[in-house]
Amino acid sequence: MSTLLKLFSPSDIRTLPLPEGAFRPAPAPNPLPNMDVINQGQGDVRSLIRPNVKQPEAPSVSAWEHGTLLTLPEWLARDGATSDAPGGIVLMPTDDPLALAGHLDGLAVIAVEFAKFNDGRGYSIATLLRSRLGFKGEIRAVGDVLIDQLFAMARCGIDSFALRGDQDVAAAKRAFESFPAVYQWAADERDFVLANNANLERAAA
Amino acid sequence: MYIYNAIDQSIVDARVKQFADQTERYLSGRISEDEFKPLRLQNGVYVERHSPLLRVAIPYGLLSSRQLRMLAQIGRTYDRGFGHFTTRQNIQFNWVKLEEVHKILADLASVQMHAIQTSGSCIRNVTTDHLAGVAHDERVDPRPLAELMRQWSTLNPEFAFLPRKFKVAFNGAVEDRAASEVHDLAFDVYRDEAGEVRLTVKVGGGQGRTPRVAPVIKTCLHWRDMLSYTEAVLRTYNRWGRRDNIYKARIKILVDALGPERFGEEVEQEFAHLQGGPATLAASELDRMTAFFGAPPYQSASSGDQDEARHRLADPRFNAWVKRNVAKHKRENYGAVTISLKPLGVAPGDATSDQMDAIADLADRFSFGQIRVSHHQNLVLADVARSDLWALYQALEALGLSEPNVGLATDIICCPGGDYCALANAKSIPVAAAVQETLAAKAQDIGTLAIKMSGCINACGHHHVGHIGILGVDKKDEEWYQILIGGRTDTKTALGQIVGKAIPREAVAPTIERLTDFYLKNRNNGEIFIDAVERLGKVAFQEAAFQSDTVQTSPSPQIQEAN
Repeated sequence: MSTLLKLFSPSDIRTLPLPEGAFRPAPAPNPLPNMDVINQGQGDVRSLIRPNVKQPEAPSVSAWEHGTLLTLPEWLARDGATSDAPGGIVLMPTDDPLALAGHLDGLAVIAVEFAKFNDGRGYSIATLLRSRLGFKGEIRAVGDVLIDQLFAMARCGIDSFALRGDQDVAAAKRAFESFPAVYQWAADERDFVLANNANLERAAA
Repeated sequence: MYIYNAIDQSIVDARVKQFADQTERYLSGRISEDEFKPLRLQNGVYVERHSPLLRVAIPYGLLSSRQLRMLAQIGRTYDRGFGHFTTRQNIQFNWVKLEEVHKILADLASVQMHAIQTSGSCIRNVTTDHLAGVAHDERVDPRPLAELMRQWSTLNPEFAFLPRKFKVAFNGAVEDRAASEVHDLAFDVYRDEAGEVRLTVKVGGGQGRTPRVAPVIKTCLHWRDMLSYTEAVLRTYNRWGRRDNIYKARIKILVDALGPERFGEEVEQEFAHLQGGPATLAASELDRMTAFFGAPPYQSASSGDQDEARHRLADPRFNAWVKRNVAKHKRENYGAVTISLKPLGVAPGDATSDQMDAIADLADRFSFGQIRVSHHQNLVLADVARSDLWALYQALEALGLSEPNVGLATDIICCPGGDYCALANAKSIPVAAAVQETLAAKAQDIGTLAIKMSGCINACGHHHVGHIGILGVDKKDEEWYQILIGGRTDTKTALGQIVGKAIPREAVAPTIERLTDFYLKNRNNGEIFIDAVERLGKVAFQEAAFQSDTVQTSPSPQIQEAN
């Protein structure tokens, strides 16, 4: 069992239970950190470096609460075929979101795969969906969706979060208020510090 | 310098709270080791060979005396009474405890400092010329743009998990003192004929495993579009940069793979959507930032420097110090003084807490309360009246900080190496010490010579751009060293080439001495080492240094960097 957070604003977050297949299950519990190794240093780590990083092959979710999530090629192959049911797809980190230009009709949810939490491609994908394609539906983070990345995900226009099975829901809700202000524009269109003409005009008004 | 407003402060304070919470969840087992690692790195915390390390951001190398005193206090309270200034104008503390880091961050926040993005696969601390604002050859002071870049990149949500680290540098002068062309993204700042500030953009420079000089991909960029264009570069990199191999993940590999022209076209396509958009800076924004970096209340030019001339005649060491450590200032009656952190017997770039406090006092007395960190790992008092030079020199001498060796063979850039770093192939500090000792007596005669030492191919010690570079390599668990010559970053950037076979540690200093002896024997009048290398060729130097029977060389034909 896991929880979907739906973000309307940092003070209005609704939760929804997710069915199997719609979220990544909890991994094995963490061992407590070994403070001897940390505060005494970890010695020579050269032999521990694994340069090759395994790339994701398949999405970590196949479903959402209203049915299955199609892949991008499957969705594009439908070629405008209409359906009464709201559509949902999942984008892999290597997918080009701009391929959806002109194919957004009937799409209620676009899941963005975070195969690993430190693969940042999903942030650009969500940004392009919002700012370039003007997608107004739900953008959902799926996969390694962890508390400490929620703030940045939300800033990139992601507005629902299929938390990984082990994540603390109360702490996750608090994460959207991590910072009281932000410096730069992002796809959430939140007010930001650096002055462009538009926000100077807004400030003057 | 830039002064935080209430919003800046609230962001940094929130970061301290966030990291304290993350640390607590990690220590109680609620965040895994792997998941905590990038979180701590993005707050400058490494776990090194013998201890955790905290790297503190010094944006474009600029510090107030109050901030330097806080760094001294942190060194005393949480470390072993010293800190280490880095080749990216930052400072790191080598002996901190993980559970205390959030307390250090809170102390830093109290003086408008932080450790945000000093490591990790994100946009790192922005660097620039340590003489920005005072350099005689400056076209435009790059610090206002660097501060805008600092703010834009701070906690930038889209680019928090790039394929690899991303370093930005600015240069606004004729001589590039920021080594900008070996950065992931470099801006050359200038004024066009209409007086508008514009930028030449270079992408994909860097050292390490695949050293590259950054090619130009955009000219005449208006400063208002700087952030939009940077966003286009980073989005292109974030989407298309390699993530399947950490050794091929830097932007230079992508630029190489596509070629600079194709890469530039990709960026241009993205930029076409962003130009004029929300990241476009308001016309007033540069003025607002520039106001923070205005000239201090300089004395009028009338105060003479007769004393300086008299003391220089009477005291040859003071004369050498003025010649080497005092850079020309845009105002004739001022000088920019470099305090060398490279005396014999000290790890290059280290300063004790007591020295930091004393330098903060001297900054208050002689240089409007500000200090800069240079990427050469020295400290700079940039606005000293020439009539104060003698008094400042005497004060520095009393502190053991008057080494007159800036830009000389003993002013070595050196990474922490195998004494500290968990990635090092070989020790750096003892090698630098041996070279310093061997060349100390001849250093003034040799003149300008940049020696740069790295303990592994990651090149934190900039060995690729040293006139002489030293690289530590590992050969069957033994430490060996390769020598490079011909690198430079000044008015032109060039990468050095490996000469000769790898040599054992004890052979490094004698080999370098043979290089400098060859130079002394063959130089033309007024010709510095690197120019002699370019005139005579690297082969001539290699033969002079490596033909001797006394050099024990590696059994392998050549230890090359593993690609």
